[in-house]
Amino acid sequence: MDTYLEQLPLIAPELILTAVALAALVWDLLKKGRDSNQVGYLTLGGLAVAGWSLMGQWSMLEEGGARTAFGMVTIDRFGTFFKLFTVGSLAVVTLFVLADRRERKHGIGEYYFLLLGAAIGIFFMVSTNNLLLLMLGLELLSLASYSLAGFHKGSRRSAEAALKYIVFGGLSAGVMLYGISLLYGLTGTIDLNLMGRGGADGYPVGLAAQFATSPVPVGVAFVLVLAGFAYKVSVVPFHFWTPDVYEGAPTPVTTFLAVASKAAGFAVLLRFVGALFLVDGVQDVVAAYGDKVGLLLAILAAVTMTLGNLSALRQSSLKRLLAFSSIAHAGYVLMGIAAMSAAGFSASIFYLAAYYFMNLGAFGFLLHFEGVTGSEKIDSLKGMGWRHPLVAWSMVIFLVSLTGLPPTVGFYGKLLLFYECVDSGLTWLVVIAALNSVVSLFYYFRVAKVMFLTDPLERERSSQPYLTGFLAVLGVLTVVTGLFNGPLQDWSDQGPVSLGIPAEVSGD
Amino acid sequence: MYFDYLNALVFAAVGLVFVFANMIIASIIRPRRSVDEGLETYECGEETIGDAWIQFDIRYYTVALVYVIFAVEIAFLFPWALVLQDVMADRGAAAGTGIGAFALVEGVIFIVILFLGLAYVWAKGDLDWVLHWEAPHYQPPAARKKVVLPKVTEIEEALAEAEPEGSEDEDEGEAA
Repeated sequence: MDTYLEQLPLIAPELILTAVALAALVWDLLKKGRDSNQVGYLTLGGLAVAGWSLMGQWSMLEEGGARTAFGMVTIDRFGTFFKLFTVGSLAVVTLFVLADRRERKHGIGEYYFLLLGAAIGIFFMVSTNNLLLLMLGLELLSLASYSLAGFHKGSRRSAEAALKYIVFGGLSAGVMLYGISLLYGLTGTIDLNLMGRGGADGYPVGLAAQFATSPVPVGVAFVLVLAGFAYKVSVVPFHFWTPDVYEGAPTPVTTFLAVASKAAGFAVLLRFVGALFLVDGVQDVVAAYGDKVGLLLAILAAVTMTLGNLSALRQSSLKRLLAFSSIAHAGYVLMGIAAMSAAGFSASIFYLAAYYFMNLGAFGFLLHFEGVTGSEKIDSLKGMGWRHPLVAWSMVIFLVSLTGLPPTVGFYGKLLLFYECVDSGLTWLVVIAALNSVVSLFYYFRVAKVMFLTDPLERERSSQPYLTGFLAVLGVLTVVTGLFNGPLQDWSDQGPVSLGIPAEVSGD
Repeated sequence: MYFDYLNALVFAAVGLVFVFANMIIASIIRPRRSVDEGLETYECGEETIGDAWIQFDIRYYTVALVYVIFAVEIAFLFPWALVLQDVMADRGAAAGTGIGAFALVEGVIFIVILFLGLAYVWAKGDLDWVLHWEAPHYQPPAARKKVVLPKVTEIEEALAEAEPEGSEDEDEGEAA
């Protein structure tokens, strides 16, 4: 075993982020909060260094290889992919904070500190097989998110968002901890690998095999832990906080919650389900009941996307519409996990990557729209298409992608998900998802209709050139990654490989 | 295997019975002499003043949070300090790990980060307990103006200038 000092480079990205977070806090204190934009630039620089370090780790790890640091942190390509994802989305969120016209420009160094703190939580969360460290990372992310949701202290809606978030979060964290304690009692370990295969002292039978002999305790524990993850990714019936928190939180924070936090929740869910039910050595026992776990996830996916899409139909606020759309998309991503196969997992990861482009774009548009009109109502969008054509056309691309129409990345992601689900015998789920896509077409294109087919409003503030350019770039990327999806697909295929899921495993 | 947890069940049952048994026995054997003072809230021998359902100053909450910084620090530093000697000398349970100096530096980093939290609270002015007597809202130290309190003689002069009879009556009314 390496000494501790030799293991330190393995968690270099986390250390870099921690140092940057502390530096951001001290910098703002030393400058007495005079120009908080400087802290934003510092954050961007730190994220760039962390991203560079992560790229180094990606190429250091061979395909499917994993290294363990301090007996708890597992460094593999799956985790590194989601860390890069987090760094990417956090960089965009930082840009959004800098471009947010509703935000103060002084004395908000904590904003960046909290964002970086949440990122550190995600980093540890996605790169561990140890449920204790996973829980700690999850809590670090949650605590930072609660404060961020209530960042506008004077605003009633922001305070309401923070309170709702913390109450729901505390409850689901408790439920999840209870589930973890049950899992520990059943298998004698908190390491997911040992838990799945069995082999802890005095507990030779893995969780998968126990499912066959005594399904009730294992099922209860699994469902309880699932509740914690479902809350994080806002899957029905743990979605109640989502619309209110998304609406009340500052828009950059909403972006962070909808993209980075959600992807992190899915990352741990993928790792959890993968390590317990799909890794090498448990397939024999999985064959007996794998359908049941898959079916539970499939039902959750179907309910989530249906409820999300139907609720989005009636929204008059764009921010709230995007919140319900994000619930619906949680349902789509869950389809890939419900397929219970390596290819299904890979499709889920691909869809999350697609979601990165189109959802960041949609929230960026919301930010621009708020800055220009000072309103979140869809009615205020009137004439945006004629006044700000570049932004509006970018938004149309994001909407096309969110609906899942070609030639965008969202289409290809959905195609993969549908294909893998049919392959795993979940044809009914694909039918429901396709019907849902039709429903979503209606409300997404209501936004486009208002932008282009109605007369312009009178008073507006000038547009924001940097944000406009950035949105245009994101729009182009959404189309380009849709047409040339090879690299993205290669990367997402690495996920199940590094989780140790053999390619031929299938739910049926 | 479910009987592995039988002792926990017995423990819980005995605990439950113990609580209610004590309450029942106490209600049977205790004397019943009711005096008004006996029904009052016990407040360290002091007479109670008013209700506890009042709005507390929100700053108590901040101070409680600052306290948590140090509570966490102590909770982590005691075990660290206990094993540090063994670790530095590379003996005991930590023998062979070679983390001596590393453990020391880790502890120092931990303390520095915690103190950063304290410094943050200090710099933001949350440790200044005494508020300005005129200001209705809290202001950070830099924003405060220096205020000179009027002397007693000055107040008396000001009162003497005002009409003596009416104002005195009003004062008494307010005091009552």
